[in-house]
Formats: sequence, structure tokens, C-alpha cells
Amino acid sequence: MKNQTQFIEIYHKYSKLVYNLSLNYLQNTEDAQEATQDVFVKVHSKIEGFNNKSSLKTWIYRITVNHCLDMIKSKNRKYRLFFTREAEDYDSVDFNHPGAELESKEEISLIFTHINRLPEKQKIALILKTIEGLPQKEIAEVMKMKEKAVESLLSRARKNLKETL
Amino acid sequence: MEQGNLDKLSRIEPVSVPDFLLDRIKNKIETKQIVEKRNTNFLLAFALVLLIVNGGVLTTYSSDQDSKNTSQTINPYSISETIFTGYE
Repeated sequence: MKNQTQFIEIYHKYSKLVYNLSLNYLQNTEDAQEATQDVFVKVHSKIEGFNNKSSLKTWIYRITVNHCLDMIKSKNRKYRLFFTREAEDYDSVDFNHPGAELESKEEISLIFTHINRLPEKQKIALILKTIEGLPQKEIAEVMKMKEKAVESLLSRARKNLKETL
Repeated sequence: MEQGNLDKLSRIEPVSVPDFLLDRIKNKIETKQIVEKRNTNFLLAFALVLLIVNGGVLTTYSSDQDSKNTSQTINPYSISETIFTGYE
């Protein structure tokens, strides 16, 4: 990167977004901190090649989502390798979300357990919509999908959650 | 029920980023750059060694070829021993 101060500016503008999105995906402070660091290392090394096809915010969202998914996959692989318990994948993660209110922590932990069992794309769409509050158009840009497809993902996610919760 | 649960999720408060993260990120970037530089240097050194070895092999091969060619050159004035054996 040409200018270190430019990177610091990007960090100050988007670090909260990256950290909170990571927290919502990984539901664990340590993992979210690790993910935030890795995402910004990636941003630093790839910013030169960033073309303005999408906004910087959408681009950073995409990097974060992909990185969190990679972390979850890698954790699941480790779980399977050492415990050979497929049913206890990432949904059994130690829930440690500082954004959740203390009195509703247990309930939220349970909801996240069910969200973690959703298919990958449904989970992404649901988190971006429900917690991050992104409009459908922006979710479509982050996921590189059409708006209609996102709508269908969201309705399937809600339906699946309704059945399990 | 399900909508109520999702509403609970939307009440999750955004939290602030720990202060130490930026320093850790800077350290990671620095370490990455050092490793990348070291790898590039290693690759360059390896390419140089490969080039020198190849050059050496080629030189040896061409000098071998030269000496072979010299030894195979027939001297038209030399008398072959087989000619004499014919008269014996």
C-alpha cells in the first residue's frame, strides 16, 4: 500500500464493522479478534488490486464473510479430526458474544446454535439482514447474487428456523 | 415465535474494537512482509545457483564435444597400420 495513513484510515472506518460481523459469525471474542486481524492483513495486501466495481464497504464485508466461513470450516475439520463427532460441529462453539445482553444471553446462544446449523448461504443472508441490518440489494452485492436469490435464501432460512426453534 | 427470536438478534448491540488490535495487525503485516521478502531472496538465490550450475554443465558439455571433435579429425597424411598389415 502506497500510504500507511490511508490504511489506518480504512481501519478506523471499518474495524468496528469487521469486528462485529466476525463476532456475529463466530460468536466468540477470541475468534473474532483473530478474524479481524486477518481480514485487515488481507485488506492491506489486496487494496492495490481493488477495483471500484463495488464499494470499499461491500468489498470488506465480502472479505470478512469469506474469512469467517474459512475459519468455521477449518475449526470443523479439526473437531472431526480429533473427536469424530460430526453432530458437534461449530454449532457447539463456546458462546461468548459481548454484544448480547446478559439476561437474554442464553436465548440468543440457543438461536445462534440453530442459525449455525443452517446451510452456509442462508446463514450469511440471515446474519447480514437480521443483525447487520443490510438492505437486500447490499446483501446481494456482498454475496454476488441477484436480489431475488437473496430473498429466496432469506425466506428459506426463516422457514428452516421456524421448524427447528 | 420465530420472528420474535429474530427480533432478539436485532437487539444485539455493536461492541467497540479492542485497542490492541491495530498494533497486532501492524505486527502481522510486518511479519508477512519480512517472510515474503525472505522467500523472494531465497527464490532469487536458488535461481542464481540453478543458473550457475546450468552454465557449468553447458560449458563442460561443449568443451567435451570440442575435444571429441578434435580427436575424431582424421589426418589425411597419417599412415594407417591396416595398410601395412595388408602386405604382410
